[in-house]
Amino acid sequence: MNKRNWDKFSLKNFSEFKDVDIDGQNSAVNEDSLFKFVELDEFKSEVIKVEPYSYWKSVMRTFIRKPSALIAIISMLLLLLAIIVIPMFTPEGFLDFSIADKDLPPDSVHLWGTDLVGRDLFFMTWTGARKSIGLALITSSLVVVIGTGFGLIWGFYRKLDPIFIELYNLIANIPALLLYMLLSYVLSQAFPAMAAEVRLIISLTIASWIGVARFIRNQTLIITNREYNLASKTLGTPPARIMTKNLLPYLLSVIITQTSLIIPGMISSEVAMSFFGVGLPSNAISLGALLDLGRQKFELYPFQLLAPAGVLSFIIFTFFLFGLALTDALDPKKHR
Amino acid sequence: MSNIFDIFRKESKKSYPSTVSTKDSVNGRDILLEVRDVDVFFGAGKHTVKACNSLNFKIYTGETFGLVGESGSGKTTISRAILGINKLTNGAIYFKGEKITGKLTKKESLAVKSKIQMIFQDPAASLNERANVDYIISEGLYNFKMYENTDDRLHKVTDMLHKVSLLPEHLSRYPHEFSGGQRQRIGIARALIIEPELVLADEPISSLDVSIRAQVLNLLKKLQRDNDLTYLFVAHDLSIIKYISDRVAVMNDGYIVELGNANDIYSNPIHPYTKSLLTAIPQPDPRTKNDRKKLVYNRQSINYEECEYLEVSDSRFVLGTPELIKQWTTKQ
Amino acid sequence: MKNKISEIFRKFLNIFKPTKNKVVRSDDFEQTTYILDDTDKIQNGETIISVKNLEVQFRVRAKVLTAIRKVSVDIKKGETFAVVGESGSGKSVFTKTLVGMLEENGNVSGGQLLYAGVDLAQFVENKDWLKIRGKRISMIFQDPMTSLNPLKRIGFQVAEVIRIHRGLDKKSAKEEAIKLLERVGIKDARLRYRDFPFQYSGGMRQRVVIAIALACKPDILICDEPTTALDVTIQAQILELFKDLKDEFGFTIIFITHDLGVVAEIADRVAVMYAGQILELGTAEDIFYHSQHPYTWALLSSLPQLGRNDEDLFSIAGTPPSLIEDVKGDAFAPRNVHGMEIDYYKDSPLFKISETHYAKTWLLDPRAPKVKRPKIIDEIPERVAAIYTGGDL
Repeated sequence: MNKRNWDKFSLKNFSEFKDVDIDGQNSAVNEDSLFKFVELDEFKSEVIKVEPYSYWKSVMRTFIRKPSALIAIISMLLLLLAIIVIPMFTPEGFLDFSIADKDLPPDSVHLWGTDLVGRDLFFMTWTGARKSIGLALITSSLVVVIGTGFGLIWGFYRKLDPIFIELYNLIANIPALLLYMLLSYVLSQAFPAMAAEVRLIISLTIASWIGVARFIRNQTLIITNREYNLASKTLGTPPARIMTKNLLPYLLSVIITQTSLIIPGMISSEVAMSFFGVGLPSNAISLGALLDLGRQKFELYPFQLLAPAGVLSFIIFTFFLFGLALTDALDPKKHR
Repeated sequence: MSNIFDIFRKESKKSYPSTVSTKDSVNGRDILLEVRDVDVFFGAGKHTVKACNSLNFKIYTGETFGLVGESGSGKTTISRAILGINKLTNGAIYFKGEKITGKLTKKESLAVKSKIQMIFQDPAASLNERANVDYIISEGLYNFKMYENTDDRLHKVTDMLHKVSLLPEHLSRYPHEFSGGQRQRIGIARALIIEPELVLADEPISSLDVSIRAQVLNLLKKLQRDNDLTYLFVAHDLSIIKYISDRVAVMNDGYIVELGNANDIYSNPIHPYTKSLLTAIPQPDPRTKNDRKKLVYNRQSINYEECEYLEVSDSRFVLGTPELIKQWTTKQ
Repeated sequence: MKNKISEIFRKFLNIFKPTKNKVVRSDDFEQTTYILDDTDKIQNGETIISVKNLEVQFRVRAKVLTAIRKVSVDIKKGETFAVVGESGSGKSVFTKTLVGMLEENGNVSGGQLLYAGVDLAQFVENKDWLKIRGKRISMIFQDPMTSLNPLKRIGFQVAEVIRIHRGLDKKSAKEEAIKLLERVGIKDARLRYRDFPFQYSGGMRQRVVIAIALACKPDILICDEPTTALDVTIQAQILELFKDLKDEFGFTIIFITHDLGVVAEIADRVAVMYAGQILELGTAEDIFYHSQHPYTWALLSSLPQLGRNDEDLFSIAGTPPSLIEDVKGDAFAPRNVHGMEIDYYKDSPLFKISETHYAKTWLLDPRAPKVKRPKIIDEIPERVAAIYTGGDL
């Protein structure tokens, strides 16, 4: 059946073996001889000639074409380069306490000056940025994975609605910062040996997953009653496969969009928690801790605050822009 | 007369046996599906929507049973009730003598699913856009483990593709790359690959192009012959129903108003609603367009609650009262 | 000063807006004057729209799709002109071109579109179109909700159009709107004036859309599958309404549909479209009883109305072509049971069969072998007569 001869009457072959030039005078074949019937091959018109359209390729193409995406990509690359390369070239002792060098203004040795315990602000800030971004990426992926999983289940099994709604009310009605502080405190009392980073990740994840879960649940509700899901149910497809094969692929683009917006949120949450002293300890090198320190002598040495604040703004702006451009590219309506 | 319509719809909340006979006591034919006194109501209290009211019909093995009605007639509701998607308010549905409504174990409901399949109206909406044709058609095979190994599965899938006139090279394509008719054939392949006995076709051609409709109708007929299928064919267009069905039930406002052989109903309708449906079909005959009278049905003129099913001729049922039927049949 | 700042601010914001059609502000309406004053002078039966070698192209993912391939047709005033075709045949694109409502990525790439002597194909700005669209040419779509605002009351939407287009004051516009609504068959129009669209059924909504279309007394009414989404009985009523209104208001109807049954009910003349071309053009009589093109034959003989239980319907194999590539020869050839070798090389000219009847198939060439039309087409009257046709009720 594979070997069916579809090409027997295909246009291409015709013009190959008989060189017909209808409009010109030097026609190799007499036009009159063409008035005879051709056997119809019903399978021939079923062939799809258009090359397969790939959604993700199309997304990439649309993404690259956007000017705002270009800016986002460039600043994202710069950012990644900075947080990877700059900490690698930290001169020895630049991140250590050194009272002699404290509160120095920017000069050729200390590009952005030093902080109130004498550490170099330029290298401190970028090292801190690396830690903050790393933490944010880990937390965001945890939040998205957990949130998506529970969101799908929440949306698929309507019976679970009351349980999840109560849980949502419980978590969402407490101010986020208070919740972080509370969780952080509880964790530090329960597991004193736990590293501050792990504590931070856990408390941020616990406080944030339900928001993603609710978002995914709403998205699931929108598509779960579509006919193709009904078709799968009539075919007896088990719920787990309906979720992974029918629902998840449709949600992928909104999940990516959501993730790209969660990451900057997570960075700010980490910063906020460290700033208020419930995140990383103030001797740890992170943007939050730096901001907390910089605030103390802001009026005398503004660069101590401005350096980490500037970098933080740049990071959040970059991720946000990247997310927005990605959202646009993921919309199939804009694929032209 | 001992027929299914003798059970009055007023007797609600009665219990139904879990098995019934699969032989029709009147004509001795095999019953594949029996719908008994089925009510499907949505909502409660003042806002109850009575989508189906005391529906009774039997589908015999090997026939095509047409269900025709306009939007809101309840034809989709009852077909989805058969699939177990809509819950019954009253009544019971039997498949091969076994009750398939009410509480079923997981195994039982899966067994029913493997025997009753559905072809959907809109092939664009009913295919998973993010899965390739291979997965879409194999979905049922996976669910019921109906293959030995990958080769066997692929063999079955390509075989099915060939039956619906598609090519093996389509396996790796995605639904949106196909035309409407091709998509509908993918939908048909998906439903038929698990070898069901009853196929519910819910307006399978109404969203297709005209030049494709005949193709799909013929395909359905051919597959029925080759695989001994029984169809429940749901449509709003009586002309399509007439062409494909052996028996027809005309639905209006949640009631079956007329039930009988397709040709009888087409040439000699009795219920005024059926008449209005028939005369409303646009006919490809411009010379006679002004001669054909379009009858308008006045729903308010008949109170269905007061009517009952009357057998006007052999296995031909009309919802009405003796006086009304006399009026409808004589005033011609 | 304040205005200037807000002006600058708005311009600044506009940079971020996607570059779509030009924004039309309401005061543009006032500047509009009729440029086509002589359309009233066109007599019934004279050409009102003349399409010459029209070609419409779309850019799709860096490729060019030719949706209309050199279509020429004259539409006469006062007639009902039906365009039949399946999806992708270009029938909808054709009508959208007539009112300048092509999607952003489409444009008229050749030919002329003469409406009372004015070439609509030259229109670039939305402002030009506003003089035509709605005023001279009204459109009715398949889904009535494309034309209705779900948040506004039915009566208000009709009255609004009357006010804008005819300059009546609020009160008389309301009276006029009620009159129109009653005319299109909405019972108790006065009571239901303040209803919202969702309170109406599909058929009623379509009636409202018809009322809106009539409100500005158009010359031409374009109906794009107006009954496809409706139930059969409602469809029959709406078709009847179109016929009555046409006699009363004297407009020209261009009726787009895929249903040959509907065509037979309503059309005076019919164009059968396929792959962006007109394959057969003629009066309803020509098309239904003397058709010459194999595609028309196929469409007619595949109608389920005509099918008998014991026979297979005629079916057209395959799928319409994609117009993204260049079509060589006759686009219908790969599906044509009467296809000839010449069909694959060279596109057939439009052969003239009679004064009113044209068909585009090589079968009409004297050199072609003779082919007989399927029997079922000659049996149409007989088969239709076998169907219950009513009587009194």
